[in-house]
Amino acid sequence: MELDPVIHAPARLQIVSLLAAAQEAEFGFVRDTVGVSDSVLSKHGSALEAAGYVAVRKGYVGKRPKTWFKLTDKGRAAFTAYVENLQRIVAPSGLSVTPDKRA
Amino acid sequence: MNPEEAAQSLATIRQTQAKALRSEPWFPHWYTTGVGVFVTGGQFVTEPGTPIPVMIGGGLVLLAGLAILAFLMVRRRRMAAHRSLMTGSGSVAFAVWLVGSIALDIALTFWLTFAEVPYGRTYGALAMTVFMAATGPFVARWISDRMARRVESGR
Repeated sequence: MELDPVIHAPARLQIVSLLAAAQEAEFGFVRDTVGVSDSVLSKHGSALEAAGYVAVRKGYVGKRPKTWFKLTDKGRAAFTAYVENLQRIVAPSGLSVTPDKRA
Repeated sequence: MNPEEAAQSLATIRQTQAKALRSEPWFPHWYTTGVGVFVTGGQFVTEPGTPIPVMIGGGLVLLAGLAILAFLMVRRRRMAAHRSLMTGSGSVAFAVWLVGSIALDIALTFWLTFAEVPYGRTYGALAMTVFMAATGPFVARWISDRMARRVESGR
């Protein structure tokens, strides 16, 4: 079973997961929640945008430039397919997917 | 990818989404409080006996305030939860809270009007605004938490 290579990298999977739960998310919020640096988020954001998975909107709040990310329909479909593939891999094993509360 | 790695990836996805959802209240309480202030102001400037210039000037100020509020809502929000994650209990809680706030306004307005208290409508709307400001943050956080729990449970 082939998993989407655009989403597969750990940091990118977290970014896409967060965006899948959001209508739209601001750059700083994504950075802080995922726990990556500005440059890493910029790099992954550009790659996801190039793949057509993420739409990037730029604007200002006062004089400060801001960037917002939004998962496109294509990105949402790719994420859904990715999760379904993961579930297909896990299902036969009977493993639990409950998040680790300690993290 | 083996089943253990896939299970870990699914857990990471749910954990990331739950963390994001819990980080922000489902709606910013300053917005609903601002709408309450707009309603209160609207009642005040339309009370019987209000001079026409005050009515028009006040109305324009209130409309400008509402436009600024809507602008800030779009620009200042760090994350808005996706509508597909809304739970049934969250929808009911929000509806009950909103209808309860309005009912408080109407009940107090009627009571004060029958008691012939001046500016009864304004006091009714003011009570609604105070109620929304005091309880809105808890309602918004509770709804966010319900959404996060839904994600964590994989439903």
